[in-house]
Amino acid sequence: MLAKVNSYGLNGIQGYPVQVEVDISNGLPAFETVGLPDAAVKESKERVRSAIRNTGLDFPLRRITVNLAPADLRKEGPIYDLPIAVGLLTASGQLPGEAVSGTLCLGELALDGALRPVNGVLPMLIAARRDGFSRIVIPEENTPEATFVPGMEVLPARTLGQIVAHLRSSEPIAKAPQRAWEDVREKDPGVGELARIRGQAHAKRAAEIAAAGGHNLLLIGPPGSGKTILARCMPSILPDITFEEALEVTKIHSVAGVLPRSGGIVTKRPFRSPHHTISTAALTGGGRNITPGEISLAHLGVLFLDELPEFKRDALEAMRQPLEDGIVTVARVSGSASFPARFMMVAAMNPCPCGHMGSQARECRCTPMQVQRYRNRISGPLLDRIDMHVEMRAVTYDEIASRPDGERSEVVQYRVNAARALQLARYRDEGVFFNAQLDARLVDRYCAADEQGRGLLEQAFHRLKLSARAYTRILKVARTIADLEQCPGIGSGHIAEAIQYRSLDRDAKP
Amino acid sequence: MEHTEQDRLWIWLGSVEGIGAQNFYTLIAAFGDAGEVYRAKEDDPRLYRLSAAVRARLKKAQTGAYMEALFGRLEKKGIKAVSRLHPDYPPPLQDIFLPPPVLYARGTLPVPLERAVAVVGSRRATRYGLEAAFTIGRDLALMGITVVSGLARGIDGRAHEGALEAGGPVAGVLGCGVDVAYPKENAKLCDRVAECGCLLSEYALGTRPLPGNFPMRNRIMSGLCRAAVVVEAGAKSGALITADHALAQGRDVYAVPGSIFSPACEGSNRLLSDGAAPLLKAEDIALAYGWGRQGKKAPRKAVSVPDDPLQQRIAARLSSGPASFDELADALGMDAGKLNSVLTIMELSGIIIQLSGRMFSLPEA
Repeated sequence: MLAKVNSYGLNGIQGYPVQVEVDISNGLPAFETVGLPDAAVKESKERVRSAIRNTGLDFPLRRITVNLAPADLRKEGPIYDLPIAVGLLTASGQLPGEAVSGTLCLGELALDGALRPVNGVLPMLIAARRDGFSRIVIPEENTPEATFVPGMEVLPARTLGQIVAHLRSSEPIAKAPQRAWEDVREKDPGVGELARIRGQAHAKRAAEIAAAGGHNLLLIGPPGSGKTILARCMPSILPDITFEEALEVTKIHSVAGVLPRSGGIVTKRPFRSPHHTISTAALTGGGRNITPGEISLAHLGVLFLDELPEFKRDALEAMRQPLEDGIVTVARVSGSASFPARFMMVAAMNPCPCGHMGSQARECRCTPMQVQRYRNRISGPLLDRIDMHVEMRAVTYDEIASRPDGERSEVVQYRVNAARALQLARYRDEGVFFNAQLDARLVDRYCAADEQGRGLLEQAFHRLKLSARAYTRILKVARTIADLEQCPGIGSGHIAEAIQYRSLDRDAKP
Repeated sequence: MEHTEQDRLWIWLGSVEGIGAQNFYTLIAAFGDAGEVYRAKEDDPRLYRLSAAVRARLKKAQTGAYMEALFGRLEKKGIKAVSRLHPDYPPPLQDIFLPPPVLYARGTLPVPLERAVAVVGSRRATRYGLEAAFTIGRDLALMGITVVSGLARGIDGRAHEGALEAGGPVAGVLGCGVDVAYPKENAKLCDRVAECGCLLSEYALGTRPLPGNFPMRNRIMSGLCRAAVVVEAGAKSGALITADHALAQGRDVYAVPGSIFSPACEGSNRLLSDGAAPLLKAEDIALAYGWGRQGKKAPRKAVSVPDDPLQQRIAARLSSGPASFDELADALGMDAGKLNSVLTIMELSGIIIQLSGRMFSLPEA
């Protein structure tokens, strides 16, 4: 007898339909799995055999052939345990033949017949809904992420026995209730709250501008100047994540298996801070079974790179293309996959190897040569993709203790939202969303400064010995500053302020 | 450049690798004259005080072709060589211990040394030291005093930069050949010194900057001058060797007082407590030696006074010393964006300068 069960597979973060075909024929007892299964899929037969027996059902002692179609795509992971088991039971006549048609099955089986959660449920579900499926059986622990897809009937199950009872119509499984985005979204509970940073007015202002224009940000300051804490505040002043964005982020996190078990869907902009020893593959994505890297996990959120010059050079260089395109394509032996990676990069570094240059408290004895060498570890092309460099100063205890709390994140976020709305409207027909994405052509069109501003910029170039790459960056940042003030044109005041956010282009003065 | 026969022979002998000042004079004493060394046989017993390797090089050098190549190379690179016998040889060096037998020079000879002061200090200097070196170098040059220094990183280089800004007479003494750029980041500075004054070295062309060369080079710096100023020196700084040489040569030693807490000033402060004269401003030196002001008047930089009331308040706040961005923002009660904008404009008009760590200050006096 032949049985077919519908299931789904993953390529990158895109789901594609997989049909699990089970055929039972006469012959010596055997179990063959074909259709490019990986090790976890091959081992599936052992789990399926035990799970069926321990559920109190019959495992047919005949020749069993399982095919995972399409047969030319590599299948990974234990998600096919459940469809194989259901197919086997249908093929051996223990389940009614029509019961399972139109229902998708995903899930890993334990030997006692219990269902275990699997990764990547959300992207598969979204693809399935798009392909016209409307009912799915999944492990109960995956329910939280699965209940946000409208029009999809989700049947959470704990054991194989429950599913069998459901398909025999003796004891139907209750549908999981649909959840609405409004119910789960929450404000950042204050992990990063801008008000907690005392002083550092300059850096906070820079953070606001960076958030408003989507500019990448480089913080330069001695240890203890608050670079990390400022970076952690970034998600709290970025515009709130929308449902579509949340789904996209959740898809990536689901594939990578880093979703929190409880919440199910990502409700905040992600904040990722990989350690500087990270490998290129871990940063951009890779591995034998291709999984998304940190830059994709930070998609639509913030990627924080502390101690930027300490990162491996090739890891940093590998980020150049995703920084430009917002997408990363990883090719491995097992195939290639694309992951979205539109993140805001916030990097931090010390001003010099010892870290105390410009500090009032400690003396820096680094030679200009050493400082130059340290800074040169960051390549020009990478630096080109960072619009704002901001110097921070070590804050003394007295300053922390004596200052009042600053502005709250919410207030700043309100202004950021207003500036973003302006940009969205302006670039409606250009295929970009915020100022940082402007290329040279668009900068010419949208970032023209007035007469006085141009004069100021020219003067700045000569007087402060700015490098040529500073030119468009200053204009873009000035555009954002003007947007924050809801100004249609860029004036000399905006340019003048923007010049202050290009520390690294200046000659280093001790 | 005109050379007498003796001159040429001295330059020839000095150019042989391995014959330093010490060996040079020993050979001259033994042979009586450089010409005799040029004609000496390989097995001459008087040569046995040299090592076998140096003897072999000497033998190779005893040809007309070597001689021609040597002077050809000097000519091609535009480098002058003067022996002690030459009238352009700096007179103050004649009476120091172990005067360099030959000096190589890039730039203008003779160097004006009637009024000359060496300004030296640590390579790893603090901002205070660098600022002091720049100011002293500039003010000395403005008074027409030749600033002699070693073109090293840190104090030495800054002193020359100051002197060059005043367009004033300068001389640099190197611890390597005058055609070798060391340290690399000062290569441009070396060129400017050669243009406006003179680069000197006792080492033959192509000599690399070996660590042993620098203490010897220091004796020339102090020897050229009437006084040596130690701007900032740590406990073991090479600048202290210059001070020792200066004392041994009968030159005066000045030191710039530094912070008693800073290890970077330990050596220079120690000099003060040992009896060196404290240098508070460059004019003190001119007064001490009765050097009247020569040539240029000091063109005091016109301090630009802002006409905008806000800018005036910022300038007033900075007149009591550098301030951080946050301090300014607090003092003026301004938001960061506006303040940044004003600061850029003030920076561009030269009213203030920005230091690293987002400190702002009025430009140095």
